[in-house]
Amino acid sequence: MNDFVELENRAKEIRKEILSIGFACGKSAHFGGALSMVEILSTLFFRVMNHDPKNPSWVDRDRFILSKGHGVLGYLAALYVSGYVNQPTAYSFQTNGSPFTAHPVKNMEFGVETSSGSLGQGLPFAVGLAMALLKRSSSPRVFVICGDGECNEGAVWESLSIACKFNLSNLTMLIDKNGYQNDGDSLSVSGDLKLNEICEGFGASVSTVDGHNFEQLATQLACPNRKNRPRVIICNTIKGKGVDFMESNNDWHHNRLTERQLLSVQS
Amino acid sequence: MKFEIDSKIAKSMSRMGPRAAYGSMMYNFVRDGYEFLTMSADLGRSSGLERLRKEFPERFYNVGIAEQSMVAVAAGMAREGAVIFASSFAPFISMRASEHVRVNLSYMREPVKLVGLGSGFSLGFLGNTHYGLEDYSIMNALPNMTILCPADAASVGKVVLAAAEIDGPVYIRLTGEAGSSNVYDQDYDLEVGKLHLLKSCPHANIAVIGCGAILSECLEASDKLSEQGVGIDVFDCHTIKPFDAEGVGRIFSKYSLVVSVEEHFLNGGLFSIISQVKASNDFSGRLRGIGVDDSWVSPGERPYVLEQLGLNADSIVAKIKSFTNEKGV
Repeated sequence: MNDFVELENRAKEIRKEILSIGFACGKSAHFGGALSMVEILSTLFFRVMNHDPKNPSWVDRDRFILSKGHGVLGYLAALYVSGYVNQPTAYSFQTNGSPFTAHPVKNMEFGVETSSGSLGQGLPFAVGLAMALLKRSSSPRVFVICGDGECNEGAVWESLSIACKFNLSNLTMLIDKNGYQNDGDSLSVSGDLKLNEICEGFGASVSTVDGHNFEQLATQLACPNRKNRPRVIICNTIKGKGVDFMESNNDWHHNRLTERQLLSVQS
Repeated sequence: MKFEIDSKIAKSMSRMGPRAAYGSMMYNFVRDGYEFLTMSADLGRSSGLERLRKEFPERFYNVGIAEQSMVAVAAGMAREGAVIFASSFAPFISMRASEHVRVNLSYMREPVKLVGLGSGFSLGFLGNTHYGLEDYSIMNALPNMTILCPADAASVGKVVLAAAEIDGPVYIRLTGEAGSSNVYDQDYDLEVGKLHLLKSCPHANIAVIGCGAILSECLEASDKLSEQGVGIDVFDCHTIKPFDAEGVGRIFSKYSLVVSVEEHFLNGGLFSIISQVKASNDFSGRLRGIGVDDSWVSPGERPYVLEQLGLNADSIVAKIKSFTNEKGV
């Protein structure tokens, strides 16, 4: 018996909605970095996180922060599939006046905890949430997804340092390491960052997983953090995962999906 | 060497938009012998610099997504003699890196040329995190800065060359999108620090002062008002700092109403700057400001946002008419 059938099915739904919603707006959208984190989102929203889509402001909910805000299509699809957002709202993405545009806009009605899009700001906000929540007996957890490109920002490392100093055992930072950023592959843009060693150096508890493997993700996310340490999970992923012409093709960092392309994926 | 606008260049650059025009012109200038260096924080493609990067890799530095450090690194290079243009989206380079600009460019006066891409509402659906509504108010607060706002894509070339000639730090603010109307279809004399009369109507009694891509809305408003028998002159304030106090003084003495129009918060913006100059110099006359009020907008395409905020041509027409109908006019 595969314990992960539901997560796989939810991931399929999320991936399908990313493409449908992204196509429906008729504009360029950030497909690559949304598709790379689908399994992470599925595992968080449908297995790990303690949350209630009918009560987005429930005080004891686990908090989710999308620090790599340009991944909003994945986030929106996860919110839609899990019931925070209805179909007309989801499909209003990137239309004039919609609550959902190319980067998340704080909106607790839909379960969106923060506005992001300026990289390196989601993690420090998540650190603040974790510092406040650590004092509560219910101790909700805080999950934040950063991009590997985003880790260029100095604010990421200042924040991790703060998280370690304040022993934020309720904080989990997931790095969606898809190996690309706006201008190209991360190796040529940012150099060869040893994220594992760097995060350990700050004092975090670090593990590395295949970011498309539910068993590895669920195992790592389910077990409690080591006492007094924030956790970093480096998720090796493929940008554009699940769509053959998008996979590891940075033209799909931000691009417009044609009807023919959509149909080719659906067939 | 000079860069001159003609109708062909104006049209082709407008199609590209100011960001691609920036990259394209930097490529041309480097090819033609200018010793320019370019730097970006993982927005080389969004700066139109791909061709330059490929053909002149030694002239392009990508520092990754690290805008604060980019500004200080560029300052270090400028200290050693580099003529360096560093570009990123306007809020990131003007606000995230603000203190680095303050210490390195303003205080130490390192002559880096910053390029704020996609300012105003140019980035449409990318939303408020990516809009540039405070950039020139922040830069204006810093001593030693020069602030240049090209009115259209073709003017970017003139502004880049003007910036390179300035012995000090410069902030260049790019507004408008690919396909935005061009403001100029022929060459003009871009004199840094001087207001430029862009369009005049016979017997105009109202002056509009604008900067950047919003000037195309002002020109359209001017046409519409002219049809209704209201003449307005339109001035291009391509230099926000140093501000042309003498020029604006002459404008107050000539016109019965002066209206500033800007794709920027009114607080600290062009309206504030003109108000300060007016008060400091005891210029008499009526001044009204059209810009972004003290709140956030619901994001969308630039024309949609301009319409929501009363910044498109029709709204400018309506507001100018309401100003002229105010009591005592």
